[in-house]
Amino acid sequence: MFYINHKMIFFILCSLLEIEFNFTTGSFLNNKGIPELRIFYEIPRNKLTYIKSGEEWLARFQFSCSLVRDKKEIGDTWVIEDSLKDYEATLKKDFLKGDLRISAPPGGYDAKVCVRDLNSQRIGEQVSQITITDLRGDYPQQISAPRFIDEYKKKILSFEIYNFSKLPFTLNYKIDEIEDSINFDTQDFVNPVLIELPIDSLGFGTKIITLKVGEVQIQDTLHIKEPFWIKDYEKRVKELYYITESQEIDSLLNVPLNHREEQWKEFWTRKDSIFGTQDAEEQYFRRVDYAKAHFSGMQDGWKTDRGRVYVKLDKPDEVESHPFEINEKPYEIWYYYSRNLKFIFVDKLGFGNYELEYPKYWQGEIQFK
Amino acid sequence: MNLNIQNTGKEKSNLSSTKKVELLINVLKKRYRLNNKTKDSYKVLISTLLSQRTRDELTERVSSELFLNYNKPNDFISLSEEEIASLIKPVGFYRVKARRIKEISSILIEKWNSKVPSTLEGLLSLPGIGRKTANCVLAFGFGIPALPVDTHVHRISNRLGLVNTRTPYETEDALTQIVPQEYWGWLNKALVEFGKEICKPIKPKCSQCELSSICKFNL
Repeated sequence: MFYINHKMIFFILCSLLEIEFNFTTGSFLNNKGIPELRIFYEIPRNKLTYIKSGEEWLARFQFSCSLVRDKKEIGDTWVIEDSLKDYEATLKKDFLKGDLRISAPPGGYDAKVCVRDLNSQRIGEQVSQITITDLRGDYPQQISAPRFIDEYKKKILSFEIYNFSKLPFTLNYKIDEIEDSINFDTQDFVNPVLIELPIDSLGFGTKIITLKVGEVQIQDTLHIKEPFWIKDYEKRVKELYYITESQEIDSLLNVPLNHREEQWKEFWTRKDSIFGTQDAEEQYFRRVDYAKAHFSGMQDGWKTDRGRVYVKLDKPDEVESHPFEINEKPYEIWYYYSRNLKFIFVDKLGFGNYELEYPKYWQGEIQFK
Repeated sequence: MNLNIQNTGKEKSNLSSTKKVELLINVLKKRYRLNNKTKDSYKVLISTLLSQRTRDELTERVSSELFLNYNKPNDFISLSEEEIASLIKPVGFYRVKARRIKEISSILIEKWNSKVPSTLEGLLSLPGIGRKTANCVLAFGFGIPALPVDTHVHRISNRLGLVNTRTPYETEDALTQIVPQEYWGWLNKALVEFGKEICKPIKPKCSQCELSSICKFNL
């Protein structure tokens, strides 16, 4: 008799879920001067399936790209592996990023890009129209399309200059109102350039970036988002619920716009000195954001019982999850071995809102590393 | 999804930070000789102090000339700040550095029996000595495991995705967790050279780089 249980349904549903990924493309030349398309992809690591391989956790996926024009198809596939040191890293929402290259004649194409997780067989597919620009021309130098790469709290402008003449040249660039130049005296054909953008001094809004080598000039725009104390300030202040008194939350909410940044920094400097940390703000909001991403339902994740424990104590050492027990409501047991604490959460109504069952009235203080 | 294209079997690996460190060390070993010899700790302290915001070639020249006649705390005590400044003048901020050399030398004589302290705390208590200089003295003056993180080490470690950090201090903390201790001091020297030759701040030589496959810029 064919028998299917809840766990099997869960796995079938998982395998039907599409792999999420983003990609952008850009036109470049390879070191032989042949046009190539570069595909810059990013896949959330927590959407890939990692399996234990020796000492590490390994995800394997196939990335395929097909370019179609006039019923002719050019394409390639790659098998990509991502190794991570520990299991926790596989659950993070950070992105696995990379780039792939296809040599193709300049022109417009219908592009079809597919990611297949080789561990779970789940796939994701996207189609778009792309154009490969011919960067070869009559100029002694040419510039590839610039890209903005995010580093930790920094933004790097990245592009290549192709030197057909092999003669020295100068790059002049303007970022909003800031102008500068860089001399190149190399004979290399491909000249990568990385410029760290002075984000702090640029202000917010759309900034025009101009790159000029000889007669070749290209422009791009960069949009610098307003920091949270302009847009999401109230929301963030209310989320301080587990780390401060309601009077202080009220007083922070009343801080005028032009003093918010300073008051916010002062608040966290004080908290750092109280808790003996250097990054209480980062730790706190990492937990709040995790709770929002994982425990939200009828109410915001950080306001739930699981959210409260998570924000106050950070990630448990171990979670025992029982979503499909027969004759029992779904429940989770969280263990904090180092603190000798155990929490039992029960989903009484079956809607995913796990309530704290044991200890019933836990009011522990927030702890930092 | 059925793509009508051949699988060319191209494989790419995104290595874990531990594996990236292994690859980095192997590549750097081929380029730069492993040398764990220590030098006189006082000379290391003074030359590292002189090197702040100064080109390495200039630091090396000035230090060598300076140490011909002055290489102990007592030697500098008898000199005035102006005299020390004139001896080190080509280096950047020579007036401030001259004052620091004199201050440090007298503290070493008074508090440390004319010896350079061999602990991080002791070194950090000296005026003008930050974490990088202190780690240089520990690693190159005493052979004590320490990982000095300067702008090159910080930049390259982040570019290669070994760490994802905002400050050199955070980089030091993260790197010491993934780099075997025996390579700490050497890694600083090797990455400084690599940063000057290949992984330059603005104009990197990606085509000559054996690590481009693990670099997030991968140009």
